[in-house]
Parts: sequence; structure tokens; C-alpha cells
Amino acid sequence: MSLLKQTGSLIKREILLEQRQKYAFYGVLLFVVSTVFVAKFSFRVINEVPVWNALFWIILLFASVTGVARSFAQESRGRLLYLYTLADPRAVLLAKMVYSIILMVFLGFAGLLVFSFLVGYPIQNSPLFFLALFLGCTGLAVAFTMISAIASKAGNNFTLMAILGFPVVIPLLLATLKLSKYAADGLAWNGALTYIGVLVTLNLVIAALAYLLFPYLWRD
Amino acid sequence: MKRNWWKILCVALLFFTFFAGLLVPLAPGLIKATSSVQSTYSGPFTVKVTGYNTHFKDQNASLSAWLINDNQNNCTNAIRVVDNTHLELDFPPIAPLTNPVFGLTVYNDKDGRLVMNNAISTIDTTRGGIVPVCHPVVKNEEQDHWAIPFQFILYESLRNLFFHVPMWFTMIALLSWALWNNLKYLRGFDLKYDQKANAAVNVGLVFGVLGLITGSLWARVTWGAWWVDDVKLNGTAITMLAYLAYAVLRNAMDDEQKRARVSAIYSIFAYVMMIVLIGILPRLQGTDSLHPGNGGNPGFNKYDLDNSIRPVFYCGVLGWILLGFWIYSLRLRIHKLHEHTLES
Repeated sequence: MSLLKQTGSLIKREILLEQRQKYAFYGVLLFVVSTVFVAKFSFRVINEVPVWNALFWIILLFASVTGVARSFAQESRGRLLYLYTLADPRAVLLAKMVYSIILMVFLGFAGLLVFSFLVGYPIQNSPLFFLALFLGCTGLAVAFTMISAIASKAGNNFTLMAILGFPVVIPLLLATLKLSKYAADGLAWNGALTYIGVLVTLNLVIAALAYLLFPYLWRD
Repeated sequence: MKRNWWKILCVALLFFTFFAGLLVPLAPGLIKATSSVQSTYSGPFTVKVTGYNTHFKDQNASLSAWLINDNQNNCTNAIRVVDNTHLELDFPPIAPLTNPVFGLTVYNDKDGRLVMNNAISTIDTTRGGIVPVCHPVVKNEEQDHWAIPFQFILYESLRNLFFHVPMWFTMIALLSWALWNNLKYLRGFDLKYDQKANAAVNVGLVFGVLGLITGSLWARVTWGAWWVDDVKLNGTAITMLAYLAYAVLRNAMDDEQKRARVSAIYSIFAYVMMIVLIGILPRLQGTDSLHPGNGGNPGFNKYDLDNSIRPVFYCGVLGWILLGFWIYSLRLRIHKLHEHTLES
């Protein structure tokens, strides 16, 4: 079986697993909704773009830590070994990555829906903001999948996951924040192109690094 | 002795950097000029000038001063010398040509031509009135002795260039060496390379901290705060966090091979993020940076790094990098000895 086919069937497996353990997915969703409510109760309505932006991305950042962290942590060591004997280890990583991307993009848009419903929606250039949201969520998913793989080798510690993850995602978040600020201020696409370029490059670089380095990582 | 030639070179280079960087005097220059009146046209006025490292009193005979406005030189009526660094200049009434801002030049044979742009300004709306133009006599244009160039605002803190910038060069050199060893480790799983990478990261972090401290001092002097919101500062702070996380990660695992493998992978990630944070993000247009060469600012090469200090700077860079690798080699040897005693 080729790498792509293996990845495809492993993604199906991830979705199947998620359907069977619905509580995990709804847990993360509930996390997003309840943090949005906390924001709502403390701010009422946010009209200032930087505050709105910062709050929204902080919520998504922590949602991604809790949501994507499970990708490797939820598997027992035996089951992972079994998967590695069945398929190319890189296919396992790719499947988890793609699944995390789907999850994070969904969480991102769901979060945006709840957030804008309760706290306000100051964005003027919506298509650009959706692009920023998509790229940012993809980046968070890709980075945290790899970090989760690293952390799972070092005892699956949640603190370790945060310590390792934040330095890697901060450049990504900085570019995303800049881009969503452009979108909020309703600026033209020309100025944003640099940051779209930076985000796409960062996503590709992190994904490529993860793909290249994972063969060294999975062995025990 | 033959093997240690680079250590001797390192000491010599650093000795030269400290000697030249701290002891060579700053070139003379003008720090402050204040006018006694707001309007330069309403009557004769006096400009008080403060110089630095100047020889106004010693060179009383050759002293001359003039205001520059739109390439017209306006000479003084009289020069009163207070001491070597203070002057009082009396000017006749001057109406500006088009630009309400005057530059000031003070000349004497020893200090040469000292120029201060935007020295004083006037509220005059009368333009191009009486302009007493003069042609000052200037003999000695060249400075014959070695001096650190005089830069407005930077002044003596320019010497920090020989210490602050090489710290980052050294950190990046050590972290690159760590990256190289990480890659080598992943090729053959030889623990020797893991130790090398770890020692290089540890020493690199020390140089990063030194770079932050020297940078913080410099920021206090020139920008007015110990820490400013600057992409480059934040980027380096995050880089330090990434490499500290590397240290935490190493401590979280006991098995040597596993620790080496996992931390090598994380270290490669950290290095790539460092390149993005320090090398790419600050250089983008539209970012706020106070550093030269970033956020659309011109680089140091453009104006500050002139030929008189270039050799000191390059010696400093090479000297500090050699010192970094010297400390690194010592750390590696200590580590080996430690292992040796554990084995026996």
C-alpha cells in the first residue's frame, strides 16, 4: 500500500475513534464555549480590535493544546507499536496531522461563530480573516501534533507539552495576529500578502520538518 | 602548544578588542546648541554650544563657527570661549532662506570640522531677508589620530558595538554547531555528538543571556528603557525559551539514547524557529523595530561602521566566537571526565 492510501485509511480510523469517544471532542468544544463565556462576562462587548484579536487567539491556542495534545497521548504504547508494524510510521504521523487540521479548523470556525455571537465581530475584511483563521489553525494543528509526538516520548506530561509547544507556535501566532489585524482593519490584500506568505511557509516548514524527523522519533 | 594556537589568538583578539574598544577616545563632536532667542531675525542673538572631547580653549586662535541654512554659511560676530567644551557664539540677525532649521559647524585646527545638523530653529516667517554670507577658512580637514566616531545620541555607548553584537554572533555560531552535531547524531546514533550538541547549546545560552544584558544596557542609554517592545528583542527572548525548553526536555528522560534522539529533534525545531524569529520576521516591512537593518531601518554598515572601528569590530567577533568555543571545549572535557569517574 502506498503512503497516501495508508494515510487515508488511518485518517478514517481517527474519525471512527473520535465517533466512539465523543466525550473528548465535545470536551474541547465545551472548553472553547466556556472560555468564550468567561470573556463575555468580563468584557460584555469588545469593540477594540487588538483585545478581540488577542482574546480569540488565546482561546484557540489553549483549545489546540488540549485538543491536539491527545493525538499521540491517547494511544497506548502497545497500540502505537501495532500501528507502526501495520503501516509506515510517517503515514501514522500524516494521518494524525490531517485529522488535527480538520479538528482545529472546525474548532476555529465554531469558536468564531460563538465568539462573534456573544462578544462581537469587528472584522471588516471577512475573506482575509477566514484565510488567516484557516492558516493559523492549520499551523497550530501541525505544530502541536509534532510536539505531542515529542512529549509522548518524554512521559506525556501536559506541562512539558506547553513548555515545548509555545516557543514553536509563537512565531506562527505572531504572523497570524498581524494578518487578522489587517483583516479586522479592512486593509487591502496587498499589505497582507507578506504575512500570508510567512504563514504558508511556516506551516510547510514545520510539516516538512515533522515528516523528515518522525522516522527518528517513533522508535523506542 | 601547536594545537592551542587558536586560544592564544583568542586572548590576543579579545585583548585588542577591550583595549581599543574601551580606551581609544571618542572623536570630538557637538552635543548641544541652544539659542538665546526664538526668532533669529528680530535682533542679534547668542548660541550656547556644548562640545565633547573638544579643544576650544587650547585652539582659541584657529576657532571659527558658522550656521548653515540652505547651503549658506552665516558667520559669527564674536566667539567667547568658556572652556574646552563650552562656547558662546554671537550672531547678527539672520533671516532663513526657506528652511527654518539651522545647522551648526564649529571648526578648529585640532578637532577639525564639527557639524551638528538641526542645531537651532527659528519661528521667523520672514524668508530670504538679510543673509550675511561668509566663507570660513578651513585648513585641516583630515583627522590624524585614531578615534571612535562621534555619533549623535550614541556617544560613548557606541563602544558597546564591540561587545553586544559579537555575543549574538557567538550564540548563533554555537547553536549552529549544535544543529550540525544533532544532525550527525541522527545519522549514526553516536552519543558523542549528543554531548557535543548539549554542551554547545548550554554555552550558546550563556552568550544569549550576555547579549540580552549588554543589549538592555544599550537600550537604556539610547532608547530610554531597559526593555522595549521590539520584534528582535521578543524574538530572542522566545528563542531563549525554546532552548530552555530543550534543557527541560533533556531532564525529563532518563534513557540516554532516547534522550539524545528526542532532544536532537526538538533542537532542530528550535533552530528553525530561531532563524524565523531573528532572521526573517524582523526584516519584514511593517514591523516595529528600533534595531538597525530591521523593520525598514538602514543597516549599521550604512553609516555607523566606518573604517576606523571596522577592524576592532571584526576582531571582537572572531575573539568572542573563539572564546565561546573554548568554553564549550572545556565543558565537553568536564563532561567526559565526569563520565569517566562514573564508569571506573
